Amino acid sequence: MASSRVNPDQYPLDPSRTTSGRAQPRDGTTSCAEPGAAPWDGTGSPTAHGTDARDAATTVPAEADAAVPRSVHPAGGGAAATVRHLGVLEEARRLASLKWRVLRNTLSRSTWVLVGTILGGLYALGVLAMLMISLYFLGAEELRWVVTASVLLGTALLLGWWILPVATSKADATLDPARLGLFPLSTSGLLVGQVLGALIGIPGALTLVAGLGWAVAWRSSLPAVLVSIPCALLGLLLAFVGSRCVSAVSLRLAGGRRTTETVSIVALALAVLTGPIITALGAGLERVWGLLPTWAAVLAWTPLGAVWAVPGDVALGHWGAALARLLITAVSIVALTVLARVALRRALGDAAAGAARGSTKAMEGIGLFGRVPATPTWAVAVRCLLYWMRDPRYSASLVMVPAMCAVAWFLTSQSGFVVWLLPAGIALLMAFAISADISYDNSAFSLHVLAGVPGLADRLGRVMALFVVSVPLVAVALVVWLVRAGDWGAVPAMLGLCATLLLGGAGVVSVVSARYTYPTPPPGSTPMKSAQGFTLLNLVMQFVLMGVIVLLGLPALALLVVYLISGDHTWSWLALAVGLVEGLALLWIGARAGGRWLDARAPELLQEVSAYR
Amino acid sequence: MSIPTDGPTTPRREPGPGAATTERTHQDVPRPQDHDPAARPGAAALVVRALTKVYGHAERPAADHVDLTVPRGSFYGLVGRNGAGKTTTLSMATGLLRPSSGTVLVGGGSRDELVDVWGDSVRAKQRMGVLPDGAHLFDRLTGRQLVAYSGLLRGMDREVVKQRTEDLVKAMDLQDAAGRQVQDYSAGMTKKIALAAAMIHAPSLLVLDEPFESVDPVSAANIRSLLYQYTEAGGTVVVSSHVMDLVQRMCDHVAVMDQGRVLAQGTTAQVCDGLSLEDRFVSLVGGRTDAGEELQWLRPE
Ligand SMILES: Nc1ncnc2c1ncn2[C@@H]1O[C@H](COP(=O)(O)OP(=O)(O)O)[C@@H](O)[C@H]1O
Ligand SMILES: [Mg+2]
Repeated sequence: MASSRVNPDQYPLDPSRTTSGRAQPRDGTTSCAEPGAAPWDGTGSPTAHGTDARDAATTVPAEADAAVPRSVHPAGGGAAATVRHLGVLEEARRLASLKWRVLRNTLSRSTWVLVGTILGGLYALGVLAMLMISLYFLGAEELRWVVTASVLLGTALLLGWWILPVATSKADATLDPARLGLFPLSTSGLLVGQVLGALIGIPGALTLVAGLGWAVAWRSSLPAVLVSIPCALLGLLLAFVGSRCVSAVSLRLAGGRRTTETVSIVALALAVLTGPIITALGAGLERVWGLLPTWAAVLAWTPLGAVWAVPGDVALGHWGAALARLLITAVSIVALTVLARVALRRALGDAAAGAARGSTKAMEGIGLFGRVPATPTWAVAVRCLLYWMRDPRYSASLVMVPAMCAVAWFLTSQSGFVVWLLPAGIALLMAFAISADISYDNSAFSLHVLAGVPGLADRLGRVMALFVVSVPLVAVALVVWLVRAGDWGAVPAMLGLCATLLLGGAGVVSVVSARYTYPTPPPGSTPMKSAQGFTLLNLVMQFVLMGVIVLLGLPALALLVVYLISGDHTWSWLALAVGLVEGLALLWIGARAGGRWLDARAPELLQEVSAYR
Repeated sequence: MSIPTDGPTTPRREPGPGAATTERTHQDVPRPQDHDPAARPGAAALVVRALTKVYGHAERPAADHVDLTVPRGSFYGLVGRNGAGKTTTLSMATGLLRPSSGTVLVGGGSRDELVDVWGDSVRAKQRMGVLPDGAHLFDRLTGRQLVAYSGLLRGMDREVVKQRTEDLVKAMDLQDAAGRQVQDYSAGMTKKIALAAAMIHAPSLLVLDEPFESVDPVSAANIRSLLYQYTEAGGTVVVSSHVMDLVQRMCDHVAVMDQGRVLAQGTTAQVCDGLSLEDRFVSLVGGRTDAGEELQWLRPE
């Protein structure tokens, strides 16, 4: 009776299914040959789906009530309401504890993540200690300076919370609305949960402690100390709500196809604005020192600085000013909350539908693939080049270039120094850009593993695509530099410096990225989204890698400096020669070593990058 | 894969990518029609011995001394519940996941010797076409570009690649979509284009992990008949699935996996032993829970 015994509970979850009491003919061959002839499709009289359905199916007679399996009987009213709406606070509490759980699990997943977080925590404790000591000494100063320092530091803190997560793509992804879209959550609950969740984690905890410790700076006046604590909490709220608001809005913006252009234009505008500001900074530290109280006074009437000046007003007895500033703060918090709610509601609604997709233009043939030599190296190069153009995760790293050019252009009106850094800086950044290449591939890298692409071909292909993209950019930077600095004699040396950084940097990155990967947003997600599991250790590694590339650029840099001091053109040409030779040698060694490493470890690498979400 | 009787001028209903062209770059890529499976009854396409994988610090291995022998020319089904270890086993067998221990050998080639996947991986990988389960694709490429990329990565000749790409796109019924980026495809179309990318180098062994998941019935039937032709021409297909019906209808050999172990393997008739595969599977694997009883609360209010 195997077939009729098994099938009654074939669809245990489907209340409409009833079991067939009809026995199937036990004919092995037909049973085996006609698996599609499902016996539960039989029209035999339905029987109860009882306590032991397998046996009951054949023993329980078809009673009047038996058409409705017992498990489908409505239970008493009390047990029915298993799904109820949680209060906003309860939702928030649960989301915050979810964040806590995710944090703990991330830490226990791998020793390296744990080590990275502990190192990060130690660093953070160091910063906190320094800050506390500074705040203590600040308390001994005149009240005027306490106010100025508080407003400036507070403004910097808020700006940091608002802008850094988006600017560095490291926004906290745990409570991302796209992941929570299918749960019946209220927008307010989600927002409160995100804000509470911000406290869980090193930056949030650090800010909280620092905010409370701020009271020390006001110790000359007891009312100010008392007021500083609620003010700190308000400031924190402003920081967290603003942070979530900015990331929610930027995620919305980043959903569209035209994001990169938009982002680059905004970045350019910001860069142009920062030009004059930094120019003013460059005007001399003394003058700036004198200007600080004025700036602070202005900032103290903006949403960014208002809350930090309130204890000062209280200490001086300016109650009206204190109230006005509190009002400014409250209005900003409300405004940010409303904005964040709108963005979140949209995000929750869109979560199931996925990112908006404009349909792409159809293309005949295989495009660029058909126009290069048919070798794995060229195939990888073309594929990477297409990704540089089509994948916002790549093009986002190009956004920096016009911004840097603009900054350099403006700064040069003050001092001619910065523009000299521009071409080298761009070469460095571009070389570094392919360090995430395999992480960006994610599990699509399996195609390379399956095809047995030689490691060297993989490395060279990626480097070739990088050169196609970055050589013109570095050339533009060199033109900007030449127009601003006008030093024709230094052209060979600058070329040499850029060559070392770009070629040599690509070589170094080719080795390192064959061994060491870091979490990046998976394919198809926006570059604004951050990957889970990215810790401070990853960031430190990135800086170390950049530092190594800079060190490798030192010979050409030294020769450039010698030329600038001596004015002898030989040095400049020597810098070009040294830079080219060193860069090519590093590239050759790097691609070989990286290729060999890749050949040996491709499966491990694939497992590693496949895990990045 | 190719259909030997087809000439270049014959209109093909199921185009074989290798049919009209000659393999120029890889002498070692086997042409299945050279080897009549009937002539070598003992020849194996894939041999897996004591393959074991322990993930991280897991206490139970995800694959536990898996032994499989896939005869040449067979249509081999690997069935098991979710989490039985099918993907783990096939990943190790195809060089995507390094085994904790055990060996994998791939047959084929002109001299028909077995090649160790984890020893001589270059040659082994030329013989295999693989559709991994749940892997991302390079989905910013168009469908055609993705298929061609897969061929070019293997160092194939450009004209061969172009020709086969067109053939495969047609065989997969993706002519309309092949010029669009793969990220705009539906799940089933994505599977099909990935399958095409796995076949472009005319492998002698196809390893397909859950190939029919989310593929519509018509496309599934098309793919099935394509795979049949491929086995008839001497190729070998290994599919994993948890859909018993499908496997029973499609495969001449099956292996049943559970909890990382192989519980039964052989021809479908042997394994079924007179029952339907589904019943046989349940009796082998056991562990049916009377879920309907526990889920009494699951009903609309
Ligand atoms: N990368 C991984 N890390 C840890 N465990 C894994 C990993 N991949 C799979 N597993 C575990 O191995 C077991 C077998 O998984 P899998 O081979 O994917 O099963 P199947 O494909 O048969 O559904 C499961 O218990 C799964 O949780
Ligand atoms: Mg699987």
